[in-house]
Amino acid sequence: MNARKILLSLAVMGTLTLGFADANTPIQTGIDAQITAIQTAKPEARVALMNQFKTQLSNMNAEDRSAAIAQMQTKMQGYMQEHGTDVNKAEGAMNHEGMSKQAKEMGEMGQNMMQEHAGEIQSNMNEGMNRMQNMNQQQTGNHIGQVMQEAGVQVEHGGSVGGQDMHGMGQNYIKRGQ
Amino acid sequence: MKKSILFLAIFLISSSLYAYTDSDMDGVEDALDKCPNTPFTDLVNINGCTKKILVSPHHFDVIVGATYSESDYLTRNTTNTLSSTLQIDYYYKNFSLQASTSYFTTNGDSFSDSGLYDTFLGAAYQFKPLENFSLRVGAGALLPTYNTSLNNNNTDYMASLNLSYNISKFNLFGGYSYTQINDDDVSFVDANGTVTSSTRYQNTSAYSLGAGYYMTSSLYLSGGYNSSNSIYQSIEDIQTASVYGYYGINEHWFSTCSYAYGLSDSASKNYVSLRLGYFF
Repeated sequence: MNARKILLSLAVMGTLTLGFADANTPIQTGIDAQITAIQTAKPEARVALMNQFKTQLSNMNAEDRSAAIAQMQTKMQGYMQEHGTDVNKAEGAMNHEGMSKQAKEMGEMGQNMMQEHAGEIQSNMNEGMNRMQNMNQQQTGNHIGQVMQEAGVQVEHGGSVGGQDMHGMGQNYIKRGQ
Repeated sequence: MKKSILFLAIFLISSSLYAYTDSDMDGVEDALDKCPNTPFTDLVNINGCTKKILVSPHHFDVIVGATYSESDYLTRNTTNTLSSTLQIDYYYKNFSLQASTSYFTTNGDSFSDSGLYDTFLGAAYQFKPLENFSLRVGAGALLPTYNTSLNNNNTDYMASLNLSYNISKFNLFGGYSYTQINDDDVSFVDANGTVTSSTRYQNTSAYSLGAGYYMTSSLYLSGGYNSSNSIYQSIEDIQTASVYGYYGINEHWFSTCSYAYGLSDSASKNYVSLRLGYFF
């Protein structure tokens, strides 16, 4: 009786464990099957299956996509080595690396794109900061102009003033206080 | 024994039949591929040529943020300016368009003001002559949305060149920009007709250089030096030392922060910018 209970418990635990293990890897299992199908399909069917696989990748979230790509690369490399193709040959290696990068870009913003974006925004920020610094100075100039107009001094615009820069918005004004 | 040899022969023949080399992984064997090196993000036809692109070449981002700058010029003592900023970018392959504007509120001992700063519209194109080296050429216009009493409400034009070079996780960068200032010079004349002061504007050249490091796949930090002419003649160059951080929160969201310390008296003493963006 005890032996039966133990066996039954073991069977239930085993089923649950396997069940959960399986539930944690449906994508991996699916990818494996798809890659095997691609590897063994006839040429016409292979293209269609590969297109289907790419579409599926593009609909995955970043984490699943990354895992699927890694799995695909491992399986494909294993397959190529099995069949005597040297995956480390320049052309193959370059293409696989490039392919991996491109596949990651299937998300809205992959790592490669993120790095370029960080650089782009950095350039924008530097240029924006320069503009802001000049705007602060312009605002100061505007303020001084207002003060002078309020003091009854007439403002004339246009052309080159001609005379040398006197006391206006010269160095005495736009300079940090002590 | 004969059966075993036959099965082995069939197995070897079928294996070699199924074996193929497909460098661009499009499902078409290299020997038959009429379009080698197709991007992996493309769907292909039976000849291996692109029939559909999975990744859209069109992208946008919207960035909102806040900047704080503390100026301490002699004329105004300490003045704090807080700005809310909005930037919208459009990207198409290596090409980008940018629009940015900001609304400021300035408070100081003897001065307060608020309103729109000038609005920037620009376009840029990025070249990649080498895998790790990129060149970004840009041009833009600074629309006079800042309301000033000095009648300097003219559009200014800008051209820029930025360089970026990656060595492993390090990034070296530099940039140059030239702005054509189209504002009119101003003179102040007293009741006797004597010019008491004058303001003359000048075109500005600005450059920056620095180094950055990709701490992780989503975090980038850099430090740099920036220098720019003042728009006013006779004012020393605006020089700052700055740090910049970019953090990719996920596939869509990112944030940036930057801080600049004024190295010259003509620069804002402290400048801080925090921004949050959405990329799609």
